[in-house]
Amino acid sequence: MSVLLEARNIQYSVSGHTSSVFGSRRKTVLQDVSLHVAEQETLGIVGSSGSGKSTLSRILTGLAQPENGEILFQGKDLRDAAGQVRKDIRPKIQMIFQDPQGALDPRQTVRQIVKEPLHQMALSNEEKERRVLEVLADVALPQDGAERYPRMFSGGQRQRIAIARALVTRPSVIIADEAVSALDVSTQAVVLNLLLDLQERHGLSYIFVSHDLAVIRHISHRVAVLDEGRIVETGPTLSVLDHPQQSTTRDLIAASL
Amino acid sequence: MTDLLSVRELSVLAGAKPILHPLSFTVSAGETVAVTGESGSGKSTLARALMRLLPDGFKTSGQIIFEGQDLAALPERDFRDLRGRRIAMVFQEPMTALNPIRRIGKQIGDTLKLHGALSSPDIATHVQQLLDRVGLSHAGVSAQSYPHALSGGQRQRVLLAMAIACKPALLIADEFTTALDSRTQAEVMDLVQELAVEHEMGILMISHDLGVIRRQAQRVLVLQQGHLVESNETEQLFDTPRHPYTRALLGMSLHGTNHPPLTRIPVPVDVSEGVQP
Repeated sequence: MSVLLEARNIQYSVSGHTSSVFGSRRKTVLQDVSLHVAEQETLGIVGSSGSGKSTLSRILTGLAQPENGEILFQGKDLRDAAGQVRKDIRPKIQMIFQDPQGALDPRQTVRQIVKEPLHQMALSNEEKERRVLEVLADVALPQDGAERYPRMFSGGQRQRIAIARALVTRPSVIIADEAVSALDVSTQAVVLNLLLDLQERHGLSYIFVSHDLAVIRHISHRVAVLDEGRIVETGPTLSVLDHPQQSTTRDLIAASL
Repeated sequence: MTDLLSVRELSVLAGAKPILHPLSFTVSAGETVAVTGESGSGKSTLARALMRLLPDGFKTSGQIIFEGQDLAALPERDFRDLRGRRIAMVFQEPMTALNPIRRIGKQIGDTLKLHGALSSPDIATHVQQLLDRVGLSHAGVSAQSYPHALSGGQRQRVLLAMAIACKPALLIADEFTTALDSRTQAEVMDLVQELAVEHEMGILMISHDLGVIRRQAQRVLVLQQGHLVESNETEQLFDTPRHPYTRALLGMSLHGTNHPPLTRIPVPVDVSEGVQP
């Protein structure tokens, strides 16, 4: 399998309140983070609150810029890539969040919400409309749902709307930040099944960011454990979770039993 | 063990619509009983009915025998005296439950002032003891701190300090640790368990998280659309669930089960999400 998206030596810090005898310092959020996801593969990133996992997902989707390090998509550095190349690459990397309620504009219809990422793309309006209906069918939402508003749907259906919006640009990789954490047991099962189906149908890669080891274990081929901004352990899911080498990983596992 | 709380044929109507069908259960001193179910199962309604926190238009019937008296028949004035003092409740949203512009020491002190006859210096001492007990002093949090300066787990500890300030006999925890990551969740729940043992406090824990329930509760009640469909000791319930809904719920949960990774989770049609009108 060839590498699709890669992060190399990512460094990120914010100005912190911590002061010492040396004056105020920047607080390191991510330190020398390198990882990759291959085509059709799912990489799980686990860590506690404050481990830096949300910052990392924002950097991978281009919502935040690292101070140092590179993000490569199919070997192309996203920072160096010329305007047109970058415009071609951006739709290939999409994101879904934890809270579909907050991520969906309540005043827009499902059609408007799902169509929105296509605004930047040079497609005819018919093509855009066609894609909206296509992805709604893809996530098993009824077509007449297109004219309804998010509040008219259940939590699980709202997460499907968010997934449809991520799919509409025909991405190669989707970064999912706690995407099923807020859902009920049955809804979580339904959404995880859908994500597995979509991976098979479209050859998608996922980067699945979560504190929930049970979810990560179920959906990931490989796992990276993030602790205080560093990757402390990485490898095939079952070998990392069943035979953890680092105390951080063991703590995470003990806490989630 | 004697029953601390004995709920008998409790039901809740919203207008004419039944939200909770008559159900009965008990909680003993020092025991943790979990209530689980999915959205719309009525588990939060149950917690709010016990605390008389349901909005207007909801009608509760049945008996709620707590420490020998029927709370359902208690005048509002007497009930207010019990709430916070003998029965405390902690919720999921620490940011909305805490006043953002008041120091946490003051907020914890309010609970003591409301219910106790402690003098101001005594209150300050007691607040400090509570902060020590819930592990906040150790983390560098003082009575002078404001809620925004605290992490999610620390805010839950503040709520816990407020809840146990008057040494209640019963603590109702509604999705108390749901918003926290697993490690912080485990730390906070361990603290709750320690406090339960120390004060012989009964705990009614409302949660959709079967992993947390398995770890914390001695008994479990399973609600489905307002019906109590099964109740049993935690171990029995997880090992040999009797009701089809319990079996379906456990079958779909990733916690404490052995689903083959990267395969579809079996979802029975009758529990999969319905299309809302």
